[in-house]
Amino acid sequence: MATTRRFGVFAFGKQASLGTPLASPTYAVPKLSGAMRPVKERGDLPRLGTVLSRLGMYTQRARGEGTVSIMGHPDEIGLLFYEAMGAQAISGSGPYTHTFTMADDQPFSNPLTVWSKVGDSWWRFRDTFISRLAVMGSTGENVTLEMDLVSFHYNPSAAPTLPGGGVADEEPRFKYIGSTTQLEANSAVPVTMTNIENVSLEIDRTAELRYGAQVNPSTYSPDRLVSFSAGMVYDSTQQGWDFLEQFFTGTTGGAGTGPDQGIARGSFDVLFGKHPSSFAGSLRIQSNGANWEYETERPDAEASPSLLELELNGPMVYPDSGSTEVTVVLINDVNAVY
Amino acid sequence: MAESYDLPPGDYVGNDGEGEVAFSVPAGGTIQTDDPRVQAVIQSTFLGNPEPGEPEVHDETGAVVGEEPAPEPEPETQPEGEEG
Repeated sequence: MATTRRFGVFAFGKQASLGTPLASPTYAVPKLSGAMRPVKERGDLPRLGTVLSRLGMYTQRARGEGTVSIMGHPDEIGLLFYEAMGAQAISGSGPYTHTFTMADDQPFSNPLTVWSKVGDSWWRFRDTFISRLAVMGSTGENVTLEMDLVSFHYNPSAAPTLPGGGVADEEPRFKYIGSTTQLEANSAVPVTMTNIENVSLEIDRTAELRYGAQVNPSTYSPDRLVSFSAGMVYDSTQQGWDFLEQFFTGTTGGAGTGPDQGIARGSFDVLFGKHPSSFAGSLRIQSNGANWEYETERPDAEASPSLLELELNGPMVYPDSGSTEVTVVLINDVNAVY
Repeated sequence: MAESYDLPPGDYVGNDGEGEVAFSVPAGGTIQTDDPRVQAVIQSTFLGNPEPGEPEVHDETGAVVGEEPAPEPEPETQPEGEEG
């Protein structure tokens, strides 16, 4: 008898229609952590029959859910951005430029089929929606994606036939090394900063599964919340100090005269690094104007010899003159829309 | 009624409450359509976006090749500089 380790694979593909699972995944990547799992919800309902106030445990819905982290694999992550954001465009003749933008509607009619492996146990999750997708980079580390998923249907599965390349576990990959980070307070035009330690973009749909004949499961209305955060270290060139001044005084350059009642807005444009650097692809996240309603606070002095750091975070607002809060540009070898 | 839109050339996929809506913008960058679903998706999703699909080529530092240098002195990178 052999013991089973906590191996994990996350395999997925886009369904042609709601309710019809794929026969096999289009993409397969190693998991960094997490898993999809079946969930059976039970409800305590009073059962006022022959026994006074006896509670009955009744099964309510059964569904799938999970939080999964993966690395930034150039070809595979495009489908995840599309499923979370809802709109995509492709151009170019190789490498191909995929541009993802926010839409009110996720691909409700074209959800994911997900196969999740833990140890040697495969389960398949049909009609899977991305409830939240975050892409994160921290200095010196790999770019990672974390997603919350919900599914209408699950079943134990035989091992699926993996795509031609098997589990994608080789370079190129995106990293937060050699990245170009541009941010600016009170401006739609971000400028290059070299002291950004980490960035995180989060797309939160708060997807909920709806049931019943009255509500078509393909038309529930999720949220459209996009937020961005960044952490920077103070340096002698005062990069980023304007974020602090703009937030509290409404002006920059030391010209603030008092508290400001306005909303501080900023912009960002992050082009992640990659390895190998010869890889023709890239991953870029950018705001479409001064849509980032960040907030921050003045850091404290501390006795410990740590660096002085400033944290910025806040939601992206729906722009007045545009139609997307954030744009994700992914250049890779995938020659068709996802 | 047919409407005309200017968008960067390429293939597009959007979503409305009914499902996926796909269309292509030809090389000239103008699409004319009388499909109300395509019109709705273009108006609600793609108009106003910054040059979707704009082909960019980056050098090893991530700078866009062929673009004027930004006003900032140094386009640049995390201090580590090393490839992973």
